[in-house]
Amino acid sequence: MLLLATSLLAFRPFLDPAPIDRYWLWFLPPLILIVALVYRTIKTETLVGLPRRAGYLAFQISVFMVLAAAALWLTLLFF
Amino acid sequence: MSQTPLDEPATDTPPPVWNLPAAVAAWLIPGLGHILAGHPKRGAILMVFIGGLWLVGLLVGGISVVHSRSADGTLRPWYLGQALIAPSIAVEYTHDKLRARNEGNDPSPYDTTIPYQPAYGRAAEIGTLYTALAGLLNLLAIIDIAYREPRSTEHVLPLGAGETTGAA
Repeated sequence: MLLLATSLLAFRPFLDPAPIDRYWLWFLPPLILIVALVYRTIKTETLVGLPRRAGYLAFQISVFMVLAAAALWLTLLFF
Repeated sequence: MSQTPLDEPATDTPPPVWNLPAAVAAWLIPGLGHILAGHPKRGAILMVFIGGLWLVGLLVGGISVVHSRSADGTLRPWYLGQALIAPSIAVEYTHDKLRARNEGNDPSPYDTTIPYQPAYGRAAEIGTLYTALAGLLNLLAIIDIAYREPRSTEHVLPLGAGETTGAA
Protein backbone atom coordinates (compact mmCIF):
# COMPACT_ATOMS: atom_id res chain seq x y z
CA MET A 1 0.00 0.00 0.00
CA LEU A 2 2.86 2.39 0.81
CA LEU A 3 4.42 1.59 -2.55
CA LEU A 4 1.15 2.42 -4.31
CA ALA A 5 0.75 5.63 -2.34
CA THR A 6 4.25 6.85 -3.12
CA SER A 7 3.94 5.94 -6.77
CA LEU A 8 0.81 8.10 -7.05
CA LEU A 9 2.54 11.23 -5.71
CA ALA A 10 3.71 12.46 -9.12
CA PHE A 11 0.80 11.01 -11.09
CA ARG A 12 -0.94 13.46 -13.42
CA PRO A 13 -4.34 12.06 -14.43
CA PHE A 14 -4.84 11.54 -18.18
CA LEU A 15 -1.27 12.66 -18.91
CA ASP A 16 0.76 9.96 -17.17
CA PRO A 17 0.09 6.21 -17.05
CA ALA A 18 -1.30 4.91 -13.76
CA PRO A 19 0.88 2.50 -11.71
CA ILE A 20 -1.32 -0.56 -12.26
CA ASP A 21 1.31 -3.11 -13.28
CA ARG A 22 0.71 -5.25 -10.18
CA TYR A 23 -3.09 -4.95 -10.34
CA TRP A 24 -3.80 -5.25 -14.06
CA LEU A 25 -5.81 -8.47 -13.76
CA TRP A 26 -8.43 -6.59 -11.71
CA PHE A 27 -9.27 -4.55 -14.81
CA LEU A 28 -10.54 -7.56 -16.77
CA PRO A 29 -13.79 -8.43 -14.89
CA PRO A 30 -15.21 -4.88 -15.21
CA LEU A 31 -14.40 -5.01 -18.90
CA ILE A 32 -16.41 -8.23 -19.34
CA LEU A 33 -19.32 -6.76 -17.36
CA ILE A 34 -19.43 -3.58 -19.40
CA VAL A 35 -19.26 -5.45 -22.73
CA ALA A 36 -22.16 -7.67 -21.61
CA LEU A 37 -24.19 -4.74 -20.31
CA VAL A 38 -23.75 -2.62 -23.44
CA TYR A 39 -24.58 -5.55 -25.72
CA ARG A 40 -27.76 -6.37 -23.80
CA THR A 41 -28.76 -2.69 -23.68
CA ILE A 42 -28.55 -2.46 -27.47
CA LYS A 43 -30.03 -5.82 -28.42
CA THR A 44 -33.03 -6.30 -26.10
CA GLU A 45 -36.51 -4.95 -26.73
CA THR A 46 -37.12 -3.96 -23.13
CA LEU A 47 -34.78 -2.88 -20.33
CA VAL A 48 -36.67 -4.91 -17.72
CA GLY A 49 -34.31 -7.37 -16.05
CA LEU A 50 -31.28 -5.86 -17.77
CA PRO A 51 -28.79 -6.32 -14.88
CA ARG A 52 -29.69 -9.99 -14.46
CA ARG A 53 -29.45 -10.75 -18.17
CA ALA A 54 -26.22 -8.79 -18.55
CA GLY A 55 -24.77 -10.63 -15.57
CA TYR A 56 -25.66 -13.97 -17.11
CA LEU A 57 -24.04 -12.97 -20.40
CA ALA A 58 -20.93 -11.82 -18.54
CA PHE A 59 -20.78 -15.22 -16.82
CA GLN A 60 -21.03 -16.95 -20.20
CA ILE A 61 -18.25 -14.78 -21.63
CA SER A 62 -16.01 -15.53 -18.63
CA VAL A 63 -16.57 -19.28 -18.92
CA PHE A 64 -15.84 -19.22 -22.64
CA MET A 65 -12.66 -17.17 -22.13
CA VAL A 66 -11.40 -19.61 -19.49
CA LEU A 67 -12.16 -22.58 -21.76
CA ALA A 68 -10.47 -20.89 -24.72
CA ALA A 69 -7.40 -20.13 -22.60
CA ALA A 70 -7.27 -23.74 -21.39
CA ALA A 71 -7.58 -25.04 -24.96
CA LEU A 72 -4.78 -22.77 -26.15
CA TRP A 73 -2.59 -23.79 -23.23
CA LEU A 74 -3.16 -27.48 -23.96
CA THR A 75 -2.39 -26.87 -27.63
CA LEU A 76 0.91 -25.26 -26.72
CA LEU A 77 1.66 -28.03 -24.24
CA PHE A 78 1.24 -30.91 -26.67
CA PHE A 79 2.10 -29.40 -30.06
CA MET B 1 -67.48 -10.45 -45.88
CA SER B 2 -65.14 -12.05 -43.31
CA GLN B 3 -61.81 -10.45 -42.69
CA THR B 4 -58.68 -12.15 -43.95
CA PRO B 5 -55.23 -11.57 -42.57
CA LEU B 6 -54.64 -9.23 -45.50
CA ASP B 7 -57.58 -7.06 -44.39
CA GLU B 8 -56.29 -6.54 -40.87
CA PRO B 9 -55.55 -2.91 -40.12
CA ALA B 10 -51.88 -1.98 -40.13
CA THR B 11 -50.25 -1.43 -36.76
CA ASP B 12 -49.17 2.07 -35.82
CA THR B 13 -45.53 1.04 -35.41
CA PRO B 14 -43.45 3.12 -37.84
CA PRO B 15 -41.05 1.21 -40.08
CA PRO B 16 -37.31 1.50 -39.37
CA VAL B 17 -35.72 4.50 -41.05
CA TRP B 18 -32.23 5.79 -41.53
CA ASN B 19 -31.34 8.22 -38.76
CA LEU B 20 -27.96 9.62 -39.75
CA PRO B 21 -27.99 12.68 -37.44
CA ALA B 22 -28.46 10.35 -34.48
CA ALA B 23 -25.64 8.14 -35.76
CA VAL B 24 -23.31 11.14 -35.98
CA ALA B 25 -24.38 12.27 -32.51
CA ALA B 26 -23.62 8.77 -31.21
CA TRP B 27 -20.13 8.99 -32.68
CA LEU B 28 -19.58 12.42 -31.12
CA ILE B 29 -20.78 11.42 -27.65
CA PRO B 30 -21.62 7.76 -26.86
CA GLY B 31 -25.29 7.36 -26.08
CA LEU B 32 -26.33 10.79 -27.38
CA GLY B 33 -27.75 9.30 -30.57
CA HIS B 34 -30.16 7.08 -28.62
CA ILE B 35 -31.23 10.01 -26.45
CA LEU B 36 -31.96 12.19 -29.48
CA ALA B 37 -33.86 9.36 -31.18
CA GLY B 38 -36.22 8.95 -28.24
CA HIS B 39 -34.54 6.18 -26.24
CA PRO B 40 -33.35 8.15 -23.19
CA LYS B 41 -32.79 5.21 -20.83
CA ARG B 42 -30.71 3.24 -23.32
CA GLY B 43 -28.80 6.38 -24.22
CA ALA B 44 -28.05 7.17 -20.61
CA ILE B 45 -26.79 3.62 -19.97
CA LEU B 46 -24.61 3.71 -23.09
CA MET B 47 -23.28 7.16 -22.26
CA VAL B 48 -22.28 6.16 -18.73
CA PHE B 49 -20.71 2.79 -19.51
CA ILE B 50 -19.13 3.37 -22.93
CA GLY B 51 -17.98 6.84 -21.93
CA GLY B 52 -16.76 5.54 -18.59
CA LEU B 53 -14.84 2.72 -20.25
CA TRP B 54 -13.12 5.19 -22.54
CA LEU B 55 -12.29 7.59 -19.70
CA VAL B 56 -10.89 4.83 -17.49
CA GLY B 57 -8.72 3.65 -20.38
CA LEU B 58 -7.35 7.15 -20.79
CA LEU B 59 -6.84 7.49 -17.04
CA VAL B 60 -4.96 4.19 -16.80
CA GLY B 61 -2.78 4.58 -19.89
CA GLY B 62 -2.45 8.31 -20.19
CA ILE B 63 -2.61 10.39 -23.32
CA SER B 64 0.04 8.32 -25.12
CA VAL B 65 -2.21 5.27 -25.63
CA VAL B 66 -4.25 7.13 -28.26
CA HIS B 67 -1.90 7.43 -31.19
CA SER B 68 -2.48 6.71 -34.85
CA ARG B 69 1.10 5.89 -35.94
CA SER B 70 3.71 3.51 -34.60
CA ALA B 71 7.36 4.53 -34.26
CA ASP B 72 8.03 3.24 -37.81
CA GLY B 73 5.16 5.31 -39.23
CA THR B 74 2.70 2.46 -39.84
CA LEU B 75 -0.93 2.84 -38.85
CA ARG B 76 -1.74 1.31 -35.46
CA PRO B 77 -4.74 -1.05 -35.82
CA TRP B 78 -5.90 -0.20 -32.30
CA TYR B 79 -6.47 3.39 -33.42
CA LEU B 80 -9.16 2.21 -35.83
CA GLY B 81 -11.17 1.17 -32.78
CA GLN B 82 -10.26 4.20 -30.72
CA ALA B 83 -11.35 6.58 -33.49
CA LEU B 84 -14.91 5.24 -33.32
CA ILE B 85 -15.37 7.69 -30.45
CA ALA B 86 -14.85 11.25 -31.65
CA PRO B 87 -13.03 12.60 -28.57
CA SER B 88 -10.19 10.15 -29.35
CA ILE B 89 -9.33 12.29 -32.35
CA ALA B 90 -9.01 15.34 -30.10
CA VAL B 91 -6.82 13.33 -27.71
CA GLU B 92 -4.58 12.18 -30.54
CA TYR B 93 -4.30 15.75 -31.84
CA THR B 94 -3.26 16.90 -28.35
CA HIS B 95 -0.77 14.04 -28.13
CA ASP B 96 0.78 15.06 -31.46
CA LYS B 97 1.04 18.66 -30.29
CA LEU B 98 2.85 17.59 -27.12
CA ARG B 99 5.17 15.27 -29.07
CA ALA B 100 5.98 18.15 -31.44
CA ARG B 101 7.57 19.99 -28.49
CA ASN B 102 10.05 17.09 -28.30
CA GLU B 103 10.78 17.01 -32.05
CA GLY B 104 8.14 14.37 -32.70
CA ASN B 105 9.46 11.86 -30.16
CA ASP B 106 8.03 10.60 -26.90
CA PRO B 107 9.66 12.43 -23.97
CA SER B 108 12.46 10.82 -21.99
CA PRO B 109 11.70 9.81 -18.39
CA TYR B 110 14.77 11.81 -17.31
CA ASP B 111 13.44 15.07 -18.73
CA THR B 112 12.14 17.19 -15.87
CA THR B 113 10.00 19.38 -18.14
CA ILE B 114 8.10 16.63 -19.95
CA PRO B 115 4.46 17.39 -20.72
CA TYR B 116 3.45 13.75 -20.23
CA GLN B 117 4.86 10.29 -19.49
CA PRO B 118 4.63 7.68 -22.26
CA ALA B 119 2.94 4.43 -21.22
CA TYR B 120 4.63 1.03 -21.33
CA GLY B 121 3.78 -2.46 -20.18
CA ARG B 122 0.46 -3.29 -18.54
CA ALA B 123 -0.70 0.34 -18.27
CA ALA B 124 -0.30 0.76 -22.04
CA GLU B 125 -2.04 -2.56 -22.70
CA ILE B 126 -5.01 -1.90 -20.45
CA GLY B 127 -5.35 1.72 -21.60
CA THR B 128 -5.27 0.74 -25.27
CA LEU B 129 -7.66 -2.18 -24.72
CA TYR B 130 -10.19 -0.11 -22.81
CA THR B 131 -10.25 2.79 -25.28
CA ALA B 132 -10.38 0.57 -28.35
CA LEU B 133 -13.14 -1.65 -26.94
CA ALA B 134 -15.11 1.46 -25.98
CA GLY B 135 -14.91 2.50 -29.61
CA LEU B 136 -16.02 -0.89 -30.88
CA LEU B 137 -18.96 -0.94 -28.45
CA ASN B 138 -19.82 2.56 -29.67
CA LEU B 139 -19.83 1.18 -33.21
CA LEU B 140 -22.55 -1.28 -32.16
CA ALA B 141 -24.53 1.63 -30.75
CA ILE B 142 -24.03 3.71 -33.91
CA ILE B 143 -25.17 0.88 -36.16
CA ASP B 144 -28.17 0.25 -33.89
CA ILE B 145 -29.36 3.85 -33.90
CA ALA B 146 -28.53 4.52 -37.56
CA TYR B 147 -31.37 2.21 -38.69
CA ARG B 148 -34.07 2.00 -36.04
CA GLU B 149 -37.62 3.15 -35.52
CA PRO B 150 -37.47 6.81 -34.44
CA ARG B 151 -40.32 6.72 -31.90
CA SER B 152 -39.57 5.89 -28.31
CA THR B 153 -40.46 2.32 -27.29
CA GLU B 154 -39.35 2.65 -23.67
CA HIS B 155 -42.82 1.94 -22.26
CA VAL B 156 -44.02 -0.70 -24.70
CA LEU B 157 -45.32 -3.71 -22.79
CA PRO B 158 -46.77 -6.95 -24.18
CA LEU B 159 -50.57 -6.82 -24.57
CA GLY B 160 -52.62 -8.64 -21.95
CA ALA B 161 -55.59 -10.94 -22.65
CA GLY B 162 -58.44 -9.07 -24.35
CA GLU B 163 -56.42 -5.94 -24.96
CA THR B 164 -56.06 -4.43 -28.43
CA THR B 165 -53.91 -1.77 -29.97
CA GLY B 166 -56.94 0.52 -30.28
CA ALA B 167 -56.88 0.61 -34.09
CA ALA B 168 -60.34 0.57 -35.67
